[in-house]
Order: sequence, then C-alpha cells, then structure tokens
Amino acid sequence: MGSPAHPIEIEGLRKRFGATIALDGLDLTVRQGEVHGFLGPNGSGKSTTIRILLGLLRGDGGVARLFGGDPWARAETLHRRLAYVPGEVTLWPNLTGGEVIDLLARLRGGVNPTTRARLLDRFELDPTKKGRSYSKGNRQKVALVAALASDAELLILDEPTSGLDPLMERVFQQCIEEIRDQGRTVLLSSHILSEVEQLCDRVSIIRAGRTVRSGSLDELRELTRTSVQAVLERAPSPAELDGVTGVHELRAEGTRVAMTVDAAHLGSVLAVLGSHGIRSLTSQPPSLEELFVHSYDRAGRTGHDARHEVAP
Amino acid sequence: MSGSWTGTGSLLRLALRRDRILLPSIVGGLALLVIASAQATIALYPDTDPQRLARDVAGVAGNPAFLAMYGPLADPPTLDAFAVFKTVVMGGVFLAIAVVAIVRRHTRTEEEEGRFELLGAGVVGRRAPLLAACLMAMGMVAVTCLICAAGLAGLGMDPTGTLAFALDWAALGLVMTAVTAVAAQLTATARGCTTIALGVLGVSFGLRAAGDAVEGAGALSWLSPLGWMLKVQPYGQNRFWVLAIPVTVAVVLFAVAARLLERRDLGAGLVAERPGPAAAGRWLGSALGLAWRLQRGSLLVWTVALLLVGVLIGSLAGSVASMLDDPATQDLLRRMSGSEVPDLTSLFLAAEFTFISLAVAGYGIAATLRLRGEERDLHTEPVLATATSRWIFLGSHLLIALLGSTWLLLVLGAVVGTMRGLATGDLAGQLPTLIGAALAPLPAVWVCVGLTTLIFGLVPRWTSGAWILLVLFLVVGEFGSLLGLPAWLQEVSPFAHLPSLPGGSVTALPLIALAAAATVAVSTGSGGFRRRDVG
Ligand SMILES: Nc1ncnc2c1ncn2[C@@H]1O[C@H](COP(=O)(O)OP(=O)(O)OP(=O)(O)O)[C@@H](O)[C@H]1O
Ligand SMILES: [Mg+2]
Repeated sequence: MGSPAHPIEIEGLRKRFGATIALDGLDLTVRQGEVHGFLGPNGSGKSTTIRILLGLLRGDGGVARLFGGDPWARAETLHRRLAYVPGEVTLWPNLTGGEVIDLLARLRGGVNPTTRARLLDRFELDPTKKGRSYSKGNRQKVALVAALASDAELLILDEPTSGLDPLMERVFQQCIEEIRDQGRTVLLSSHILSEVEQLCDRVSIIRAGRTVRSGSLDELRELTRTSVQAVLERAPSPAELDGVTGVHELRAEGTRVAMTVDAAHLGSVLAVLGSHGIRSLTSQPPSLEELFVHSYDRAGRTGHDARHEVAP
Repeated sequence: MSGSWTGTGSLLRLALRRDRILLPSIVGGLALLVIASAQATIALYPDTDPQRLARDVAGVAGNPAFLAMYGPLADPPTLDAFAVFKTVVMGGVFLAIAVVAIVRRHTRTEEEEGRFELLGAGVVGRRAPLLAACLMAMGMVAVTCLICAAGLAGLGMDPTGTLAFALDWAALGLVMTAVTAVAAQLTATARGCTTIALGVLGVSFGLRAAGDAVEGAGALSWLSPLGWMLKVQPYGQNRFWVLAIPVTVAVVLFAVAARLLERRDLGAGLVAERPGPAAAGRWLGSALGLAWRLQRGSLLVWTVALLLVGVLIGSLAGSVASMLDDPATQDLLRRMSGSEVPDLTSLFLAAEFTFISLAVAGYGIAATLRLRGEERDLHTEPVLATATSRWIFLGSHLLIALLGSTWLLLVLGAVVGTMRGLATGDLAGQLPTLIGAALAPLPAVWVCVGLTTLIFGLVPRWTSGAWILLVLFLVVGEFGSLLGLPAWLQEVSPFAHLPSLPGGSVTALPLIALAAAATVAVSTGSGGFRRRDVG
C-alpha cells in the first residue's frame, strides 16, 4: 500500500446477467497519467466493465478499484474526480446541448467557462439545439464536450468517437493529447485502431469477458508473428524448417517458402534460411489490424496462445 | 398512393404479437366489469319489488353527485338501464384510456424510439403505422363490445338496448382512436401525445359533468363524446341517430390526421423545433433542478386541470341543496352514505374529493415513474456518473411526486373553498375546512407513490404494475360493493380508509397507518434501488 493506488485496478472481475456471462475474470490496470486503450470485439464486456467501475452495476466477484476505493460503496465521492462519456449517448429531448453540458458539469462540481467555450468552438457544436434535433455525431459531441470541459483527473470514454467525422476525430485526438500532456489519465474504449495507435500508451485487449493481452503496443507487437517470404537458392526439405522453434504456418513450394515467425526467434530463423542461400526476402511486421484481428479471433479459441500476457 | 399503405398487415401482426397479453387483459377486464356489475344490479331487484326500484331510481336521478359522475339515467328508467348506469360512462372512460394507450404505443412511441426508421427503410408505407395502430385499437374495441353484448344478452337484457350499448361504446372507441391519431401528429413526443388525447377525454368528462349536473348548462353535454353516449340512452329511448355525431367527428378527425401526416417529417411534430438557451440557467444545476425541469410541464397541465375541476365542483356544490328538496331523496342518500353526514353538500364534496384524489394518485404514479423512464432512456447513467448519489437521484423525482400531489389537492381545496366561501358568505370558515378536506386523501395518494417506488426499487421491469394497482383501487372503490367483492379485497385500497370529509368525523389511526405504509414502501423501494444494477 506504500505507493499511491493506480486510478483503475481490476482483478478477476466477474459479472453475469442471468445466463449470460459478461465478465469472466477480467483484469485491467490503468496507471496514473497514461492513455489506456480498452479493446475487444462487440459484446466482449467493455461497457460492462466501465459500468461496474462507475458503480452503476455491481460485480459478482473479483476486485474493482477506482482511485483505490470501492466504486460501488463510494461512488459519489470518487465521481468528483472523473468524467465519463457513455457508450450510448442519449440526450434529454427538451434540453439544449449547452444546458446538458452545464448540467453535467455542475453535477460534477463546476464548469470551466473558458474551456467550455473553446471546446464548443473546436468541435463546431451549436449549443442552442434541443436534444432531439441533434444528429448522431452532434449528440456525441455534446457528451464529449461535457466530459472534456471538466478538469477531472480521470476520463472514462466508452467509444467516444463513434459517429464523428474524420475532422472531428482529429480534433478529439488533439484534445486527448493535450490531456495526456497535462498528466491526466484516460481509459479509452474504442474500435478505431488508428485512434488507439495514435493515442494510447498501453492497451488491454479483452475477449469474452477476459483479458487476453495487455501491455504497450510495442510489447504486443512482439507477441505477434512477423510474416516472412523468401526465395532460396536450394530447396529445403520441409522437416528442416518445420523443426525450427518459432516457425508457424509453413508453406514451401520448391525454393519458395512462406511462414510466420515469432518475433523473438526471427534471428535464428533467418540464420537457417541463410544457410540455404537467400535470393530474395520480404518480411512484414504485423500491422496493428493484424494484431487485433489475431487477438479478437484466436485468443479465446486456441488454447495455444490465449493467455499471452505481458506483466504490467 | 396505394404504396403509402403497404405493410399495414405485417405491422398489425407484429403489434398483435407484442400486445398478446395486454390486449386480452384489457378486453377481459372491461367485459367482466360491464357484465358482472349488470348482473349484480339485476340480482338486487327481484320482480316482486317494483317500488324499491322506482324509489332508488328516483334517488339516483336527482342527485347531482351521481349526475356529475355517471350522467342522467336513461328515459324511461328501466331496470336494464339501471344495470348499466355506472358502466356506460365510467367503463367508457376506461375503454377510452385503453384506446389512447394502444394508438400511442404503436405510433408515437415507436417513432420516438427510432424503431420506425428500421421498418421505414423496409417495405412499409408512410401511412401504414398509423393505420395499423388505429385498426388495432378499433379491433380491440369491437371485440370488447361484442363480448359485452353477448354477456348482457345472456343476462336476458333487452336486445335493442344491448345493441345501443355496444354501438355506443364502439362509437366512443372510434372517436378516441381518431383523437389520438391526430394527437400523435401534433407533437414530437409520446408524452405530449398522451397529454393531448387524455386532455380531450378529461375535457369531455368535464363538459358532460357540467352539462348533466348544472341547471341550464345542458347544451354542454352535446359538445362531449362522453355526453353523446348518454344522449343515446341505451335501454331507454335507444336513440341510434345520435351515433351519427361521433361517427362524423371521427371521420373528419381521421382525415385531419392523414393530412397532418403528409405534412410532417418522420420523428418530428408539426411545430418545428426552436433553438433554446446556449447555457443552463441557474436552476439547472442539481438533480432536483433537473427533475423539476423535466416534470414542471406536466405539473402545470395538472394544475390547470385541477383548477377547472375545482371550479366545476364548486359550482355544482351550490346546486346540490336546491335540487334535493324532495325528502325521500334526501333520506335515500343518507341511507346510502351509511355514516352520519350533516348535509348533502358535504356528502357531495366528500365523494368528489375522494374520486379526484384517485386521479391525483395517477399524477403521483406518473411522476414517480419518471425515475424508470429516465433509467430506461439511459439518462440516469451520465447523471449517476457524477457526484450525484442514487439517493439524491431517487429523492429528487420522489419529492416532486409527493409535493406535486399535495400541491394539486391544495389547489383543488382552495378553489372549491373560495367558491363555497363566496357563495355562503363564510370564506374564513369554508376555505380552511375545504382545503383540509381536499388534503385528507393525501396519505392514500402517498401510498400509491410509495408502492410505485417499491416496484421501481425491487422489480423495475414491472413498473407499469403501479397502474394496475391504481385501476384495482378505482374498481374496488367504484364497483366493489355493487359486485359484492369480499371485504378484505375492498379494504386493500388505501382509499377505502379515508374519512368522509368535509362533514364526517376523523379518526387519526387509519391516516397514520396509511402514512406509515407509504413511508415503509418508499424506504424499502429506495433501499432496493440502492442495491440493484442500474440500466
Ligand atoms: N443489462 C444487461 N442485461 C443482460 N445482458 C447484458 C446487459 N448488459 C450487457 N449484457 C451482455 O453482456 C455482454 C457484454 O456487453 P458489453 O455491452 O459490456 O459489451 P461491449 O464490449 O461494450 O460491446 P460493444 O463493443 O458492442 O460496445 C454482452 O453479451 C451483452 O449482451
Ligand atoms: Mg460497449
């Protein structure tokens, strides 16, 4: 207990809704001052985790800590220190956007008029429209401005950019970068990979209510295989390559070979290939997209690398 | 042109499927009410005792309280007419409310929640949803009328009168379907649609109550759909030609609704959205401020309604004594009231105050159900993610429900008290007495608010059950003794334990018990809400 608590600490969190198991032992740690990406396929339990963190739902097992406190028991006091953008933004039909922004800010403890005005300007949002007459993207902007206008030390954002156009997406990214520069913490649930790549210091990937990967993007990249294609001078016998540690999905046709290689064994594999004389070689590090598709798709199913976790 | 109707059939099937429990419950409940109360009345008057019927009929016919509530008896006052005396209008009101609920549910509510956009992109014509909703409501009305007619005929009642009764109800259902169809085009919200449609129903009731009970105001009944029903006089003169009025009005209203539908956009009302303030006012800064902002409109509408009702009752009360010179009538009324009541005006006012308090309980329930509405619309989530605690969120709406219902009864008492005070020259005496009398049912109203909170806290999915409870209280109060319901069932209703004020004596115990029950229900419900998941 010596060091100050992380803003968010979750261990082995469980939650079921009737027969549906929404969270099945989820772990998540968000450190002070980082932008943490929270990723996972639809229905994997991101919004459920966030709702438990906010004390809206009660976890069935495991531990969830917000600023070191119990979010269920001490919700109101903890909430003064955070701002939230819900996954599904619905505005009161007869309140204007400006009124909603002020209301939520005041309920949290106050509004900073300068930040508010600047954000309205940057997001090109008309605050005089009534809730029901906003378009989807503009509804989203109202929720965003309400959260970003606060001085809260933690921002919990559940798919905050869904419905935003690319220009507004860029404004959002600038805002988050400023917030990171101020040393504030952000939990960002998102399906938009470029956004995650641009903003996040670390990410946690979950699937079916469990954390399957967690770490910095570079660390995660290392967990994924690089694809390697080569044309060799002498055709290798399949057994020669298949036996090498780190080689997967080997395809060989004469002197042409293609495979994927664990990042950690790239060197030794290249040495084996070199011993057959390399005519040409292409090697591609995994794109972020491959990394995610790989995690989303395979992590839960194949026992093989389901729990490749990097210690935080 | 024909394209705008396509898809009506599939929408109708979908709607029937969604309401497969609701519809039979409404139809069965209404039919049971009509048939059982007719049977009970007929059983009261065996053929051997014609004088008794004549005497009771005379007593009912002259009593302004009855006239205001149920309208005049048909002429000639047959036993069959007596058997449906209470149900023609009161049952009709229930039928009308059901029609409003069904039409709204399948038009405005769907549109508000964006479900039509999914359908609208398919093969559903522009007019199809409205048509399907209206057909559904009319189908419900038709089946109800058929079952009622079959039941009443089965009791051996006059066939022509039975036909008149059934057509009477059908015509009311038709008019209210058309009214709701128009209301659904005028506003952009389901709530607004209900307010307009039920407002029309309330004004109809008020017009015919005034027309039937106030001397010289008889013409007002002809302006009211509920008044038209009584003018038909089922089991009396059976004036079928009167039905031409509601049918014509309905046709005109349907045409208006169709025109309005052409002129507006999906999801919008007719009145274009105006921009509002760019920043929140001083009041909109707390959970209570938000609750007040969301609820003030409906409290205003209710306040106006109770002002009007107060004026109506205040002016009726004056004519009570003068219209009841006949000693036999006075004697009957005293016997029927059971307890010792000093004067008939008090008896009348006490009955009206209790009845209106049931409507105010309806306000209390609706105001409390805002909690669930906010939760279901996901508005609660961002609010509870701030420093607002669950207690404060719950308390803010609850406070408005409790204080709002108090305020409404206060308005009623003040208006009636002022009018009586001016009429009798005893303002200083009448005003406090009648304000006190109007506030007397408050504990029962609060019990209704408490029960709603209890349901919200423990079984949020069943919040509409609060309305079922209110209907139960209304039915056992209105029809309980007539139907010979067991005493315990009648006493389930908190309204059965109220003193008869003004005039009657007050015992503290029942009122304290009611207040205690309300407190327990509210705190149990709040505790439940504190412990359950939100969303
Ligand atoms: N109130 C609820 N009742 C029943 N099941 C629920 C409820 N809320 C969530 N679930 C279920 O829990 C699981 C996790 O849902 P959750 O909303 O957390 O997913 P998500 O990761 O946010 O998905 P998305 O990316 O689509 O937003 C889903 O299977 C969902 O159907
Ligand atoms: Mg989600």
